[in-house]
Amino acid sequence: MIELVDVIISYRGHDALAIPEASFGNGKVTAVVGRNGSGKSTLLRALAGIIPYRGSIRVDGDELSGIPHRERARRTAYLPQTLSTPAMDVATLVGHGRFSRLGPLRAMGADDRSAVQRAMELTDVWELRDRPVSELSGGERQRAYLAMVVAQDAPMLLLDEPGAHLDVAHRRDVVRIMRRLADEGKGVVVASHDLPETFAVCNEACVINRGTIGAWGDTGSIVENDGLLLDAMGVCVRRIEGDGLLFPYALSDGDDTVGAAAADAVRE
Amino acid sequence: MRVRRMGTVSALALGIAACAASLAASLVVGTDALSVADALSALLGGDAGQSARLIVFGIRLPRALAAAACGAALAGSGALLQTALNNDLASPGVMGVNAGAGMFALISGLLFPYAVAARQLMAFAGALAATAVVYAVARRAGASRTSLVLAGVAVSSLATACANAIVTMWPATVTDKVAFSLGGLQGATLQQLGFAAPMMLVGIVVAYALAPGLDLLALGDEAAQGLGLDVRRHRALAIVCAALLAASAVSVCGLLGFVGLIVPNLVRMACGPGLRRSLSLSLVSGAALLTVCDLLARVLFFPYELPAGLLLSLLGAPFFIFLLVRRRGRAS
Amino acid sequence: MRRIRAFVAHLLSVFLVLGALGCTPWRDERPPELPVQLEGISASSRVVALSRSVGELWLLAGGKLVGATDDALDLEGISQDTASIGSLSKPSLEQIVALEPDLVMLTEDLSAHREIHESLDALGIPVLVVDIDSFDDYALVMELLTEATGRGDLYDQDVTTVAAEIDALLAANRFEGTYLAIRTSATKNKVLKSDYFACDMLDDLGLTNIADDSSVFDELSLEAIAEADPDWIFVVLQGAGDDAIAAYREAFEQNPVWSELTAVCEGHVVILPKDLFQYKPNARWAEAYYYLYRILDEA
Repeated sequence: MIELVDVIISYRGHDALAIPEASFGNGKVTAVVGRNGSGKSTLLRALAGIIPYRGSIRVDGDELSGIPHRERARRTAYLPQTLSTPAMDVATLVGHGRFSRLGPLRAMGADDRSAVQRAMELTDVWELRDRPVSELSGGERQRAYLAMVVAQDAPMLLLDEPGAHLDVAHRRDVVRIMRRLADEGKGVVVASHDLPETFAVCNEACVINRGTIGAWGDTGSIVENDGLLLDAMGVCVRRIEGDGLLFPYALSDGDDTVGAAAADAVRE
Repeated sequence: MRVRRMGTVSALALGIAACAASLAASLVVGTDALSVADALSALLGGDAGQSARLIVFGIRLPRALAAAACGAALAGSGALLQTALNNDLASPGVMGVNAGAGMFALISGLLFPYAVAARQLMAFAGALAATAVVYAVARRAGASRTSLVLAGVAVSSLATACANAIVTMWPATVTDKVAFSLGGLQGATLQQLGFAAPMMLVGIVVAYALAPGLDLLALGDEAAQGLGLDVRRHRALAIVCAALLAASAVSVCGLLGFVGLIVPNLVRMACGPGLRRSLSLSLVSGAALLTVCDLLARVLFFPYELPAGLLLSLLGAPFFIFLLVRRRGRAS
Repeated sequence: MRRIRAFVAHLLSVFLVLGALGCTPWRDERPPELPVQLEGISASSRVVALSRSVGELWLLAGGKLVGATDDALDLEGISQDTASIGSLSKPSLEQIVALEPDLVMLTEDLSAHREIHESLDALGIPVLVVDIDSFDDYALVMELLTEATGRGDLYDQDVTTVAAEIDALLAANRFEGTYLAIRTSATKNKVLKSDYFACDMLDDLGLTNIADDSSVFDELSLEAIAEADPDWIFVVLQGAGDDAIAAYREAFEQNPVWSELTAVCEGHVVILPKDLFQYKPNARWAEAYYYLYRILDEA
C-alpha cells in the first residue's frame, strides 16, 4: 500500500509532477498512462525511492524517505525502463533480486533459491538460466529482469514499461504475469503507453496529464472518458465486444460519433 | 563461442599454489651471492653461516612478503574499482592514487630528503588525499561513474603538473621521481610492511563485505537502487577501500599500478564475474605475479637490479594485448 | 559523508605530523669525531663502497675493498677480489650482504642509497655516510679513515702535503672576477653553486659565483647570464663525454647571445676535465686547484 499526500516531485531541477492525493493498493494492477515525457517514469522512480520528493509518500504506513534501503526493497520492487546488459548469466541476474533478503554474509539459502526458480518459471526464463545476459534477445532480457523483480518478493511491484521490446505473445504473457501477481495479493503499478494491453489487465488507471494526475478511477470509467484520454494521450479507446479476446480494447482517434461528441464537450 | 571457464575452486587452488611456489622460489632461488643449497640450509635452520641467514631472512623474506602483499592489494584495489565504476579500464591510477602518491613522495624527498620512513607516510597520505579530492569534485558533478573518471583524470594531471613543477624548481629531486615512478621493492623492509599490512588487511575485509552489493552496480544504478542498494554510499565506500589498498601498496613499492589493471581483467577472462570470486582470485594472482616479477628483477642480471615495474610492463603488457586480441577474435 | 570527510582530514594531519616528527634529527652536520662505525675497523677489514668517490677514499687510506659499484671498478688499488655489487643507481643489497662487510661506505645523494642505508641499519651492518663538498671535508674524513687503518703516513702523503700545496697556491696569487659554472649532460643542464666542490675551489681562488645569491640563474636563463656577464664560464661534463659536449654546444654555443658574452669573446670558457672535477679529486685535490690556478694565471 502506497499513499501520497501533497507530493511534489522534481526532475532535473524543475517541478515535474504535483500530486495532491493518491494511493496504490495491494491485490490489484494500477496502470499509469500518459504521453511520453508526461512524468510516468518520474512518478515510478519517486515511488521506488530513487529520486527525492517533497510532501509525504507512505509505504505500508512508513514515510518512504525514512525507510532504510534494504527494508524499502523488501516492500517495493522496481523495474527500470532502461536495462543494461551486465556480464553475468540469467540465474545470477535473477538471484540479485534476493539481495535485500540475504543475511549478513549475503549468501543465498534454500528459500532464496526456490524463490528464484519460481520467479524464473513464472516469467518463462527457466530454460535460459545458464545463458549469459549478453546473448539474450531484447525480449528475453526483459523477461529475465522481470524475473529478478518478481524474485524480490515485495508486496508492491513498480514496473516501468515491462512490455517494451517484447513480441506480441510475450506481451500477452507479461499481462498474464501481472494479473497473476495481483491475484496473489500483490500490488502492481505499471507505467505504459500501450493502452489496449494495459487496460486489458488493470483494475484501476491513473492518467498523468499536465504535470499532475488528470484522472483516477476504475478502468471502465477511465475508458469511457474520451475527452480526458484525447487530451492526455491524443487517442481514446473503444471496448470491443466478443468472446476470448486477448485485449478487448482498440484504439480510436476519436473521430467517430461518440468520440466527436465527447471532444465537443471538452471544447465547450 | 563461449570462453571456457575454470571452476572457481580449482582456479583458487591454482592461484594459492602459484603464490606459495613463487614465495618459496623467492627465498631459495640462487645467485652468485648465495647458492640454492646454502639458501635451503639457512631456511631449514641448517649450518649455513650468518650472511646466508641474513640474506634469506633479512633481505629475501621481507622483499618477497612485501611483493606478495603489494601485488594482492593492488590487484584487489583494481578489481574493486573496476566493479564500482563498472569499467574494465579502471585501475587505482584512475582515482588519482598514483599521481597523488608520486607528488607527495616528491614533496617528502624535498622536505625530508634523508627520511625514508617519511616518504612512505607521505606517499600513503598523497594517494588518499588525491582520491578524496577526486571524489569531492565528482560529487559536485553528481558522483556518476563518468564524473568520477573525469575528475580522476583532471586531478591526476594537476598532481602530475605539481610534481613536474617541483622537479623543475628543485632539479635534485628528479632521481626521487624516477625511482618512485619506476616502482620496485629493493627498499622494502619489514618495518614498511608492518605499517602497510594492517591497512591492507582492513581493506581486504571491507572489500569482501562490499562485494555482493557492488555486483549489483553492473545492472545500472537505478536497478541497483531498486534492489535495495544505497548506490552512492556503496560506491563511495568502495572507492575509499580501493584507495586504502592501493595507497598502502604504493607507499611500499612505488608506482606499480599496472598490476591493478591487468590482474582483475585476466581473472575475469578466466572465471567470469561475481566480485567475491574474482576478488579472491585477483588477490592470489596479484600476489603471485608481483612476487615472480620481483624475483626476476632481482636475479635476472645479478648483481644489477631491474625495476620490477619495468619488468612487469614488459612482460605483462604484450600478454595482455595477446589475450585482448584473441578474445575479440573469438567474439566476432 | 561529513563524518567520513572529517575522519580523512584527521587521518591526513596525523600522518603529516608523524612524518615531520619522524625525520627531523636524521643527519648531523659532520661525522662525529670518532664515529662508532669505525671502531674495530682496520686496514684488513672487509669494506664495501657504493660509489667511486667514497671507494677511492678508503683505498687512499690504505684499505682494501671487497665490493664496489661498477663506476669504481677501474680505480687504482682495485684487485681481482673486489666484487661488483651492481650499478651506482641500483646496487644489490643481497650481494652487499653476501660479502659479509664490516663496513659499508656510501653517500646519501641517491635515493637508492638512502633505502639501502635503511635496510643495512635494519640488518645491523655498520654504515659510514660520507659527504664531501670541500677539501676540509676530505681532510676530516681521511683523518678518521687513516686513524682506523693506522696509516698516518698516508694521511701525511694524501692530506698534509696536499694541503700545504694548496695553501702555497692560494698564497701565491689571488684572482678577481666573476664566473658561472654549469654542469651539462645529454639530458639536463644545471647551474652549480658553492655546494659543489669545484665552485668552492674557484671561490677560494678569489672568484665570485654570479649564481650564488640568486635563484635567477637556476633555469640558466641566457638573459640573466648576459645581464651578469661573467668573466669566466666553467663547464663540467657529466656522462659519456661526446654526448655531453654535443648537448652543451646545442644548448649554448649556437645561441647568438652566448657569443656576445665577455667570457666567450675572450676565450674564457673552460671545459673542466672529468677526472678532477666530476668525481671528487680526493688525493689530487691540489692538482685540481693547480689546474684552475694555471688557467686563471695564464689569462
